[in-house]
Amino acid sequence: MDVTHEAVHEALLELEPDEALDETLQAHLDGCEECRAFAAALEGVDSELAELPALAPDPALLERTLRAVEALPREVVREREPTGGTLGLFGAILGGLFSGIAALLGLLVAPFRGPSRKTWAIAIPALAAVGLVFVGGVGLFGVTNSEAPVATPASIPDRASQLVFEDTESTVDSTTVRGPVGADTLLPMGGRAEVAAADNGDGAGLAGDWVSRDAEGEGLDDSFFWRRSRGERGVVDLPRNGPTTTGAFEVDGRFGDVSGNTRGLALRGLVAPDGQRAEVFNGTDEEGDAEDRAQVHLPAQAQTQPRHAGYFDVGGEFDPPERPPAIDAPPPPPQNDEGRPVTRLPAPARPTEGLTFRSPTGYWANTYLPGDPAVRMLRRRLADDPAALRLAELAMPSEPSFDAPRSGALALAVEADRAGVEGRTRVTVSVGLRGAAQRAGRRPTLRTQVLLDLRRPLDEEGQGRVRALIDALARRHTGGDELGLLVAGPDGGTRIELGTMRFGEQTVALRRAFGPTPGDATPLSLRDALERSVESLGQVAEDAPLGSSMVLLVTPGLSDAESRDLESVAHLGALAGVGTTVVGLSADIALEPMERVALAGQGRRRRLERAADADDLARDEITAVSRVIARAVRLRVRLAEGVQLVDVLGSRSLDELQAQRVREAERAIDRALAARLGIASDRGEDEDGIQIVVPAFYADDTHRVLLDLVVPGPGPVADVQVRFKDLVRLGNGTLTERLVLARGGADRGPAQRAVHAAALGYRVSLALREAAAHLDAGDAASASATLEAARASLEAETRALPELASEPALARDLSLFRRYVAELQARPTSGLAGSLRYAAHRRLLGDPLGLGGEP
Amino acid sequence: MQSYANPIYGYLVRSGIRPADRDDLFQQVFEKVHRASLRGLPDGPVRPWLFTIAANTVRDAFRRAKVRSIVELDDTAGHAEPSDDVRPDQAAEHEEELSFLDQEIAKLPLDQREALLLCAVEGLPLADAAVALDVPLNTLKTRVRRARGALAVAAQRRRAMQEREGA
Repeated sequence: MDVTHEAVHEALLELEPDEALDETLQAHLDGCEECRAFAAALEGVDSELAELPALAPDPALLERTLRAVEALPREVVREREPTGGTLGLFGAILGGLFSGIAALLGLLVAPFRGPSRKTWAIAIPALAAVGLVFVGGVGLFGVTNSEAPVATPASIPDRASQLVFEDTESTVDSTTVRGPVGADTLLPMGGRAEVAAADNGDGAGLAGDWVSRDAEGEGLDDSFFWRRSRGERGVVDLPRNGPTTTGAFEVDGRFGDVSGNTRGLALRGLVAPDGQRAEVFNGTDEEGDAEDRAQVHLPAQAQTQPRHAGYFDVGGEFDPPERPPAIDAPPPPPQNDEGRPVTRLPAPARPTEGLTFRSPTGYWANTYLPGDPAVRMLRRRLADDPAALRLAELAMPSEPSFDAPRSGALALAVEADRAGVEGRTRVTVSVGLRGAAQRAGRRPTLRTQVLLDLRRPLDEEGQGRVRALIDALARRHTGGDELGLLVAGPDGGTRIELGTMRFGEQTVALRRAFGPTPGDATPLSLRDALERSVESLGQVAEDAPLGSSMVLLVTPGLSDAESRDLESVAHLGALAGVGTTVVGLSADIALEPMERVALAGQGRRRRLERAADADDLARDEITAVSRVIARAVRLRVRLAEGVQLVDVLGSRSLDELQAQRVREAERAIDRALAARLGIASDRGEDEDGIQIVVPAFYADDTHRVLLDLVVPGPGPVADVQVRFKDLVRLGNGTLTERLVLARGGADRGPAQRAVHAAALGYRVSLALREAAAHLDAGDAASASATLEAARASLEAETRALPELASEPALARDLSLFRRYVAELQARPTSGLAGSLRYAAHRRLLGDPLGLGGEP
Repeated sequence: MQSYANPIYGYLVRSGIRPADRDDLFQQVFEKVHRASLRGLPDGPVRPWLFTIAANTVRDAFRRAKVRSIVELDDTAGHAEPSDDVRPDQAAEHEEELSFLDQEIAKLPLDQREALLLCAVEGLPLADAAVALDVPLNTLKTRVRRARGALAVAAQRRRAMQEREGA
């Protein structure tokens, strides 16, 4: 059978990703250069389509659009309906017709009737005429009165959402409300409303006026309705006027319409400002579902009567009110044969039983690793294999689903991978931080302690690289910058005191360092030397310059055991604001041990293969430290009662000694910033909850902490607080969020999908690393199998939740797995292990500081 | 709104809307979204519904302008996310390829272009894209197929030309 090019092209275009071409067509393709070129071009196009970058509108346009949307009416103007005037008009026409027919009949029969009948014959048309006039009049009246548009509340379908009332110091008029997109149309109270679109993962969304529709001044029409989510009920008094005294209350649940017809919202908690009043009762919606509702009265200023703000579910510390007898308590949930409540959800995909739970209180290692140098190093190793490099570059981190801060240095977003649960469920919770776009200003003073690992002698070439590096650092340290040199090895100790380096000082110091070991030499271990370096930089004397401090550990190589020994010191140094960057001096240096120390030390991992690269290295280090916008970022996650911690993904818990040092280190930064920048000292108190301290956060960067949790059911999950030293505003910054899961299905909005996608991204990265390890061991078959299994798993996830297919990072992951498997079949012994590792890094971290592009 | 701003803006840009009209159309789309939301949000996913509004707005714009495509993409349309850690030469080459693709997309017939953008660029499932564009699923598949085919042919030609120039 003849096969045409067109037939092959059509078949290629229709081919599904995993589908094979028909044998005949494949045979043609194999032998036809033109068709092969088309196939290659098509593959390239498909790949490039997936890589097309997102295009963002100009922020000014966004702002303008937002304002324009806000200015639009917030109520639907009903189209004229066939009531009133319209019906009247129809009535008039029909009436006229009937009257006319009746009158005609009357006139026709009149000559054949007696006198009395003749009267009727005349009366019928007369009555018809009267009827005509009457019906016409009614019609006319109806038309006249239907001119006024009828405002009707907007109706938004039942959907998971979160409203957060932020009422920190305030009157009701300044209350901020956050909720899903569209919720602004549902906010009938007076005041300012901000709609943050928790449902759509926006973080900050539409903002608009919280308009009162209460023309009568009684406020009874100003109401929200929320679906009850917990059993507590009660009354709390809130002040009618003046500033309120306490914090925020949160609303979570499902939107219903303002008219209260159905569904409604659930208010999950209330920190009630004194004096304001809220009350709770049970209710039943029009669908017949039993609902408990709370009723809130939020007084507007200068009003004598509290305004009815809606219904919500308040904390159990309040006394229950008297309830109307017509409203029944909700029925108990249906139970199965075993007496357990029946949920409407399918069985959870992840087990909730047989798990080992971690303590909900304690310190965990920081996983924020800006500008990870591992990416740079891996990339550089791939420079000679462009195909492997290009493949790895398909990997990209999941897009953050939260917005940049509007003011200040950081923004916080807390989301779960599902909006609602019915019973005990395993959920992934994302605590997201995003740094402001602006930098904190000119680069801070830099204090660098070079720690030279001379436990083994360096060859001439290695010595030359060290000299070049220290020369470059000395050149780039200007003004108040400080530089020191400490040596670990048989002749250990300080060679140059931390301070402004004098001309020629490094030459003398290095001559001794590289010279023969003197008789009175004192050996110094690498761990002790690192501790001493961190301590020297961590001491913040009154006259010490405040800025970024780093240890530059310059080593010809680290063993695995050595790196583990150094890891905790580096991490504690990082917590004290002293980063540790590791510089490898040989081309064949083991990457993993260096990476371990650099990751723990919040620094970078570099390799100095040529003396000529020393200047670039020094420049990049200084660039990295100049983008810090927040210091001493303390993330605290307090789990709600009954919520259990399975793991903090990618992190590890610190022991008591490490935790103690973290606290001390944090206090040191706190005091230093108070002394130098006038940012009030606010640390030192012990706090409960899961705590992670990030020494420095970079501009334009994002970071997610993923928590693997088991929740007992709907309700509060966690309170998250972030405290930080804001170098944008030069003050203390605090952000708080509460995560509450609604009762309901496992529907996932964009925000929930983004969390799910981030957790999947973590698994993708693990799979890539595992495949790389198999390749290192020379087992290409296992590497392929790992990638195939990961791809199948990811495809199953995508099938279960089709919207995930729109996540660009996950779409690329599928392509990545397929291509790696194909490459492994084509060249199993190639340098794909490095490519896989590079992809694994990129998948999680990206390269926020742009250091991956090695000059 | 912000989570949909980029996809909608990207759709407008890649649909070939003139830069001078782009901002107005962007605003129009969200105003329409707002008005439509007052009448109720869709029961299903929001994205197809949003893209229905965006696609209709683009069609109206072309209808008013009496053209089906305006190829004018070489302005600074939005700020694309920078590709991280790519060498400058590679970045330039990659950018050139993507720019070529954008140009070719803008040359496609409107029906193919909108189908391709929704499915292949914005990642809408085929069924959702069909709903968004109000066409049968098979019609949509055909349009996407033709669009990919046209782009592949263009890429093939370009590659052949580059090889000739290289030789």
